Amino acid sequence: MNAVPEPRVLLVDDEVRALALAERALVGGDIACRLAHSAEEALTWLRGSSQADVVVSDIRMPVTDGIEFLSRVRDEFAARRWLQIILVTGHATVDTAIAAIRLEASDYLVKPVEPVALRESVGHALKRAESLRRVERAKPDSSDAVALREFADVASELAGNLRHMARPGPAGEALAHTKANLATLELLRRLQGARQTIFGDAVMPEPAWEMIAELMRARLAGERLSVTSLALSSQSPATTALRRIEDLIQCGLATRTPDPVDRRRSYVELTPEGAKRMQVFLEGFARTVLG
Amino acid sequence: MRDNAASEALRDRLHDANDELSIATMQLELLLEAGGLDASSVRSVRETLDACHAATAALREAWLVLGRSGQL
Repeated sequence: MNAVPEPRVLLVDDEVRALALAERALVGGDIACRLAHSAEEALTWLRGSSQADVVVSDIRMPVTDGIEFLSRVRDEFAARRWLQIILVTGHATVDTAIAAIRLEASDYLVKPVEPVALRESVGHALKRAESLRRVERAKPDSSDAVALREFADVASELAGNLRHMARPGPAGEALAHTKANLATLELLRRLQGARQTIFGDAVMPEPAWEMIAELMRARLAGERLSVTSLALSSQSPATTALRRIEDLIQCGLATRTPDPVDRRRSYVELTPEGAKRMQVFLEGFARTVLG
Repeated sequence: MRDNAASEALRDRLHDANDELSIATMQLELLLEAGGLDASSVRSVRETLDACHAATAALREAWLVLGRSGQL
């Protein structure tokens, strides 16, 4: 008998049909969910269990709306630094976008949400939560020595992956290289997490770098990134993030394409030149680490 | 003041309509994903999806007309 996976995703919406459909979409991607029909129900579950990694909430709900609910989640569960938030709205406004940034939301989805987009967004958030939980777990015996050991381990693993990627091989190895690239980017993320453990808030995230890494990850994973999602992933104020996106486009490292279905939305991706430079950087980083 | 109240009520109805369209769209997308439909049914589902997307786009236009300030 197969064990039932523990739900790590909490879906919150007062609309029963929307909730059931979102669950179906996620379960189709092997992502177990817990459903809550109101903010109060969701808060009750979160108080009783710390297994949630991602909260996906509709904004428009009676009694307690999604923004108020998620603000309460951030306040009440501030210790759960890994908790990822995804906002779902019928209509994007400046106010809700600002709220998303204040809540450090990992994504902001506009209805109608396609099942594949929901799975991608939640899958991405789960990966981020997992990385943050790892850093969090390391904290109890968190002398600098422990953190430094983790730093060194990750760097060594990263270098091993890059060595593999640099090895010449037949064209059929392209898929294996893509997997190695994805693993490498995950390691980079872990490296950044370890850096945060050691240096704390003294080392602020650099939005342009965060965004290039995110664009590379999306390219390798075959995902599309909207300007809003990319700006959120940079962990910096919206105006700064948007300026940095413009800089990347001006430099020829990224390009923007309007969404043919939704004219207000556009997608950003690395140009071939941007991807090539990232590859060169990763290989150079490995050589530096290896000495 | 009355205009504001009417606009607010209209916004609510637009939200309701968009929520219904979202449900229809998600249902149809999942139906296509699940597979097992014959070619003619797939064509019908795709055409219905296109109609839903067109209706969504029309709703967004209505939103923009209703309240240009504060839009993203």
